[in-house]
Amino acid sequence: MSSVADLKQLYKKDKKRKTLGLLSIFIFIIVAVVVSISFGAGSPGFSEAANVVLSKLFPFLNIAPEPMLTQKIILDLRLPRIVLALIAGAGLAASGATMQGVLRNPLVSSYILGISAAAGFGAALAIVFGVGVITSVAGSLVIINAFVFSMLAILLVCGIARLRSMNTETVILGGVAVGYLFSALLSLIQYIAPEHQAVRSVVFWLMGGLNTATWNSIMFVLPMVVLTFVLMFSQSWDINVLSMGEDVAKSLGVNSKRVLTITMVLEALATAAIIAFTGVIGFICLISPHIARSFIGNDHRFLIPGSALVGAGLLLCSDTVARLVFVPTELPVGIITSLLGVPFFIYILLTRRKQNWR
Amino acid sequence: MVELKVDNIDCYYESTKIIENISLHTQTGQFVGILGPNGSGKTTLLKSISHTLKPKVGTIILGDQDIYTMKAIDVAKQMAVVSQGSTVAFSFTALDVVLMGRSPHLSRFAIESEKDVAIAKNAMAYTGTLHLQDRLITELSGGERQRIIISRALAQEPQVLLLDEPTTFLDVANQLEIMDLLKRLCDDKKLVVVGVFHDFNLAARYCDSLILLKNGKIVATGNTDILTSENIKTIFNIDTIVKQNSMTKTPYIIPLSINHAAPKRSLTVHIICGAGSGSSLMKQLIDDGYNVTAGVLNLLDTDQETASFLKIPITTEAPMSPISEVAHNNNLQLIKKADFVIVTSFPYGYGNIKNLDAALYAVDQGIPTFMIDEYAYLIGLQDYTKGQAQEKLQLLKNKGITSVKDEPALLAALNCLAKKHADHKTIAPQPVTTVIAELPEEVSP
Repeated sequence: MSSVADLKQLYKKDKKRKTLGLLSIFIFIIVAVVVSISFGAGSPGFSEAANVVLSKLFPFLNIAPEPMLTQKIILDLRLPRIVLALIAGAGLAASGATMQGVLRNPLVSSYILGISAAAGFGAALAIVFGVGVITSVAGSLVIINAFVFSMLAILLVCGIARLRSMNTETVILGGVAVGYLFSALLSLIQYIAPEHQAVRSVVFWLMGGLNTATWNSIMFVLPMVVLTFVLMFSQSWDINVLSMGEDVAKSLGVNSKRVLTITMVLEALATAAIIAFTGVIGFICLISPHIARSFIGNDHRFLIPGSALVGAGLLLCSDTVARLVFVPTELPVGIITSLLGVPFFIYILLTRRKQNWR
Repeated sequence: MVELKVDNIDCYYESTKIIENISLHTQTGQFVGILGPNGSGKTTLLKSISHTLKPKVGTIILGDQDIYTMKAIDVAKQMAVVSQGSTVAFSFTALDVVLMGRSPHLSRFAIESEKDVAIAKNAMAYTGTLHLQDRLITELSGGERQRIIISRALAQEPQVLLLDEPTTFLDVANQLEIMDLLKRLCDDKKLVVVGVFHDFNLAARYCDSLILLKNGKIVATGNTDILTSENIKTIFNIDTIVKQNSMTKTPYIIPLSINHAAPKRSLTVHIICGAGSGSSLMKQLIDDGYNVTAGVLNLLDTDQETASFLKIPITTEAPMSPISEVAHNNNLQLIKKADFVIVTSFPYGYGNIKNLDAALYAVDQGIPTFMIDEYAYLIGLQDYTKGQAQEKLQLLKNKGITSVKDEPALLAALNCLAKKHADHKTIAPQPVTTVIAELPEEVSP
């Protein structure tokens, strides 16, 4: 048997491996940002983009100002879109990792818990009939509706689960039921919609996209994502314990029902805030945790931030591709996340050495 | 040290009462075993003690506080639970799993410190699993996994350890290893260990005190002396022989299956045996529904113990003593009442040579008499009477004793005769030779 000193070394090495993994995704994201800001429908390239960003960040450098149009393209179109992609990807993936961990189920995503369907229904209600919960804020009807209905969905799921006992089975079954309910209502709206144009808009919204990204939307999404991320991260040790089973968690003093309720509400808040602005981008929150798990392992203290980084990188990458493939038109990002993500995911499934799900 | 006191608890699932009026007081360093059939409430009792199922009536005191007035996290600092066959959905490394035992001692946001890692590793060293720390829990064998789970419990630094069937699914070597480990925890670390077990021999060997449960109620409680044949019969409805393991001075239980449903015959078989040569025959004949008697047997002889367990009437003689005239005559009385007599093969000395005289008496009385000749050719070696026994055996053969080669042949012959007896309602004394002619072929001498 090796000595204790050797073992300490091993333990540190394990942590080093995780840190290294996180670092490499970080670098990947920076590269993706640079690529994304340098290419697009407009003419500005890498040097112009660098000039605009640097002159904005460091005014004292006295860089020769770019034309207004260039500045507008970089600062008001490309940059907010990149930032929103990173935030949305991170938020969705962190939520996915948390929910998969808490519910001990590798298939859990916002689709499963009914959030996406409810957001879609809310959005469709606003798009087709102009009906909203709060109508006073102009132009934000779709966003507010999507957010409110997402929260309504998760409250329904919580309520259904609590009627029996708050455990993984009741939450998942409740989520599936609520999801089907809102899907049906969404279909109904599409079926009876008087205008074809409206139906088309709904479909487009459901595919998801970052094309509407503005600094205003970021001002709302960023605090929500940061706040929920910190709170989810604070639950990560309890999620670890919970993954040993509810009985074990209980014997270790972890209140599984409380953890379940807290994480569900957090997940709903983060997801609802994001998809209200972007439309349904579901696949990211399912796949990113699995990718992260393959090199980070199952310790949620590393997995949740790791998934967030993977999600951020994946969504930015997908969005860049979606933007650039058919310049000057673009594809909905939801299509690209699946087209890019699935082969990558299958590759990881086939090549990983560790079996992360029993 | 913390004491665990369970007083008169009743537990329910919904409105069904599962356990009733259970009390249990433990002392520091005590190893308590809970035994009982499936569905007797063992796991429910353990759940109740482990802060999972609140009893409707009664109290569970840990230290000086009722555990159901304590927060789960505070209970977890003093009491650890190893539940039944825990499944792990995620593959954590063994060390990560053990570190989870530090959970109740960590505050939110706290990442485990060097101290926590040291405690976890000490626990793993104690259970001999330190070398497994980087392996995934899902890749470990059953025995290794169980020891990791126990390490996790130890990392909680508990004073009470509860285990639900910790040895079920393990091979015999691992079972002993786990039990040795638990015993060491009681002796060295002064833990109170309460475990649910299925193997009463294992429990008898390691536990200091036992609780026998049936239908949610205590049948007996106390030290291992309560593992009597009667108590085991009460809770499991099986017949057992309870002996003492002379090496560990603990009860040793041999379960038997006795065919109580066998149709009773009105035939009596007397067995002349000794030194364990007649024990299996006694059991088989009883199972076949015969009345069995035996003699003369010395007290403490294996056959005598079997006979007394099977409640067979026998003639006995004091231990290590030659057969007295009184005992011999009593034996002849039993033989007189018998329908068949069987002489087994066993060593003859001056002490028991009278049993051959008893066999001669039986033949002279015209009672169908059989001799199991399993090792008749060895008789020279089994005769410690300078040839006297051999002479008597020869005489028996001359007088027409029926020789059969082994017990199955004997039972076949007996059943054949018994059937004949049943057909004629009565079995008239008849020359043995005529009977032999009707025996199955392989029985013939």
